[in-house]
Amino acid sequence: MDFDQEIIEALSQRLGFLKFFVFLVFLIIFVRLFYLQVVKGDYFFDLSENNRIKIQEIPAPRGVIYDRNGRVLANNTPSFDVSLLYAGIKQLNGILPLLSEILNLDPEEIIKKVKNSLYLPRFKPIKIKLDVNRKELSGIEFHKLDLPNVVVEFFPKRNYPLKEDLAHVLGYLGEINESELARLEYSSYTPGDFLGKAGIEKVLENPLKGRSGWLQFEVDSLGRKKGVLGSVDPVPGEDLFLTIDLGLQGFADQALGEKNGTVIAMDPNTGEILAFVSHPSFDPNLFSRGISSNDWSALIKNLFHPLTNKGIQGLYPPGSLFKIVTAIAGLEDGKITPETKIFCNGFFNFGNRPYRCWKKGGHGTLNLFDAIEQSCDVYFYQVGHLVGVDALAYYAKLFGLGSPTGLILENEKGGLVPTSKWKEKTFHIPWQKGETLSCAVGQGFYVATPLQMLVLISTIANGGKVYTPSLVKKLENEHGTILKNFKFNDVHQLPISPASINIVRESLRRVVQGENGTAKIARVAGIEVAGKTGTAQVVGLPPGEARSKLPSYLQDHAWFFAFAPFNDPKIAVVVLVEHGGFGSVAAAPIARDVIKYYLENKGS
Amino acid sequence: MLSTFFLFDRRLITRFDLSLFFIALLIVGFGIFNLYSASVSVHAVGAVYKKQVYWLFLGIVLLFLGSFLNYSYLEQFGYFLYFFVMFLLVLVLFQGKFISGSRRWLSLGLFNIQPSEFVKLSLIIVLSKWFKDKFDTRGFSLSSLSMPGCFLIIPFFLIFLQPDLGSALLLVLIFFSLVFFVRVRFRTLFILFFCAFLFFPLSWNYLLKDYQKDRVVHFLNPSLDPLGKGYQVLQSKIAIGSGKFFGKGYLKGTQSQLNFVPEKYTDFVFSVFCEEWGFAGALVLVFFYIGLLFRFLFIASSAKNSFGLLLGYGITALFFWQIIINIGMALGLLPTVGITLPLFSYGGSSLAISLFCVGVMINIHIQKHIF
Repeated sequence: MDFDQEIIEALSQRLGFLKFFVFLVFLIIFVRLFYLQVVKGDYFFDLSENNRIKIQEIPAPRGVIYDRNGRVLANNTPSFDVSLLYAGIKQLNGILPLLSEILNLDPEEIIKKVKNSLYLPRFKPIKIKLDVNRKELSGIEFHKLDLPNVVVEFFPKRNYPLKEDLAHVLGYLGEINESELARLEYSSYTPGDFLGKAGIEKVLENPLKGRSGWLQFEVDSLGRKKGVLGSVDPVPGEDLFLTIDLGLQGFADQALGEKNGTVIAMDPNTGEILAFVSHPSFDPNLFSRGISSNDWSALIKNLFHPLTNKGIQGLYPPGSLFKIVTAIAGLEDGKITPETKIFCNGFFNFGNRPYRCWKKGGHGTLNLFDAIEQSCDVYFYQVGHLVGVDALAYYAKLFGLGSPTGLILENEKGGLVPTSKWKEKTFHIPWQKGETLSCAVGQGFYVATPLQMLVLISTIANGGKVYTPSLVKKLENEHGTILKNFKFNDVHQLPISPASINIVRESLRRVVQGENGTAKIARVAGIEVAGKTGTAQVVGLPPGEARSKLPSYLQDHAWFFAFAPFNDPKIAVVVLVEHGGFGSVAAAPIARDVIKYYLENKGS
Repeated sequence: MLSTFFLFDRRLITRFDLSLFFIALLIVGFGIFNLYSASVSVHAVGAVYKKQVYWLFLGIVLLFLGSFLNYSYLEQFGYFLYFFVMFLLVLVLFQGKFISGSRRWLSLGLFNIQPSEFVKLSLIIVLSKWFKDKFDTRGFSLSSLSMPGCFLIIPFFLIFLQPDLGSALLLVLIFFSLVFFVRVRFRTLFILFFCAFLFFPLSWNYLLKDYQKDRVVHFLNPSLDPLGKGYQVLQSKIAIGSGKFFGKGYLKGTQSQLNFVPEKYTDFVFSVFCEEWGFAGALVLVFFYIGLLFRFLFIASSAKNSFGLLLGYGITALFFWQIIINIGMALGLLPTVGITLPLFSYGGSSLAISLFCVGVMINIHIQKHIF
């Protein structure tokens, strides 16, 4: 036997003892576990959540939302809730009459609230009435001794000083519902918590919400505080800076006035949204401590859908705005040059029917610049016919039509870019050549959101760069330290020749600045504006019937989009007025005023 | 050449200790599951458990490396490894990341490593090698222990300077576990005890910082100031006790979800588990650990050579002390020191090294059959 084996022999003798030692130590652990969890389990359980120790939530203030210059868009104001502690359920019947009188609530309703809250964690007081007024509050304080286990809780209530303005972007809060509670991402919430339900409040819920603090204190048998056992400070939510310019936003909201529709403005060099108006709107303050059923049904039943964000959820035929895409397609595919001349006599016969120009007598002979300047339909029917539906679709998609722009808000629609394949697949009938003509002037199957059209005009303005529109600049903590900078999102240069873009840009300048332009009304003194009007048909009409005789809800939608100054674009705007009629009349003046205001007050 | 470096014989692969492998992975699995619960209420949801998953992948690679890389290389390169780790310890004192009052981490760009985790294994390796080479059947004398003593003292002070009292203490425990295992003479034993007897009052006055003294005092009487120093132990005991027999349910532990449990990813991770899974869950987890340790002891006792035996025994001691101290302090049986629960607590270096150790144990088991 060698020496190594001798060592092994010598050492192995001790291993038996070691096993015994390990066993003994673990036995102590088992005994201790048994003692803490089984023998004293009830005691510690009580300590953790029942009568001896109370846990009180200290709500975290939600992050403040500012505009790009640090002006408040959403903040918090103090409010008070009246709640019942879990321990008070047994005596509820005794205090019910008094409680219902002070709070002006039906006793049945109070009982219902308590019953619905029985599945809450026991440390959470049961909310009886949220956001009580001064009179109710003093009533509760006055009868404090008669209302054991009824507590008044402070709550930082969400406040939107702009009220209806910008509501679709900011969104609103609401109480967490059962299906949300079941989702994993909300597992840190408990029933009764409020969270973002729409808009920025929803998509940036996580940084905005902060973290509740907790106070754990021991109480005696009468519920009096004996001493604090532990506390965790609340962490305020992060402050949010949007790209919105509050001054411009308010101005744009006023400019659209009582009309339904949308006004969106963007910096074409960054994709930052400067103003975002959608009418009709709603007051998000109504939601801040739970919306009443009356208010809610009024919103839901409103025929003009105030909860819908028309800028990203409204789908409209792009109308003449789309002629830009048709022109680019014709130029890029070599089907036309800027000097290609076409004669317009007021209609274009194709197949068995005439396709009419908006101008009854016709425009005469036009080149591309003239055709865009005067928005001649016949010219673009012919360009569309030369290019074909699928090439149109290719260029439309390049500009981002047919899919959501990628704005941070939820439920953005993508619109529709028809192709011959799409039609075969959807309707099982082949594409008709005549349909291409309608598409070339933005009617037919084409639909798009106003935001998509804004991206289109911005892309033309900046020479062919497609930006993903952004709404959020940065997140800061309460000390002003920047936590996250939202850089300009994706941007890509289109594979389109600068020459084509410049031709279209020049044409758009003539639309406003030219002698025969359709949007001369949009001129701003001292600044060159470029833009395009459009009209989105709500219903088709047989020849000879005047649109003005239609009821207002069947009137066409008015479009206008523009950018300025022409040589160094600082702002791009899209305006859509629902049932507003001609774009030049209803929409262009609004865009003009917005541009004028912005260029005069920029940076204010 | 390659086949001697790695053990590629098919019979040896079939000797791979699957039971140990699965026990270790089950504990890690429980741990990640538990870390998810501990981190879900926190701002950056789940970052902690995700990081742990990434480290698990690296750890499994290390486990297989440990299983198939002939452990005699650990003996051969033992001193080299030891000095390399000492170098890292010195580096961490100058270049280390300063997090909540101590310098423990070296930043490698993509991630941080904690060199004190590597010290534990390298100390076991050099001590095993030394005791095997110099083995004295009559027991070691005090003078012959001066060299192993140096192996201990150098990293002990380097870690103490960080400061990381838990890891430093662990090195001492590993040292004495091995010393008593290889047997010392009676007179040596007497002197060692005498020194320890002197050491405690001296270290109390000169070595320990105030916060460390506080911990000992408040361990002795936690209700002294529940919001202050005894707070951690009290909250941990409330968490564990309130779990009762079946626990409050996954993700439903109020103590941990509301952040009352301190250091809930590392030192008090066991409290989080006990609150949500109760006595029943704690029994299962502790039985896994017992299974792991007994398997370790069995493998060590049947090692083919004395280095393997000492190495296996040292690793067992390392795991044993970490488990006992971590659980003991969560249960309020021992004072609070920063020692994590191996395979279960959050910590990349700790998880990776622990899984490597499991690999080495599997290696010792496999090698038994090579002659």
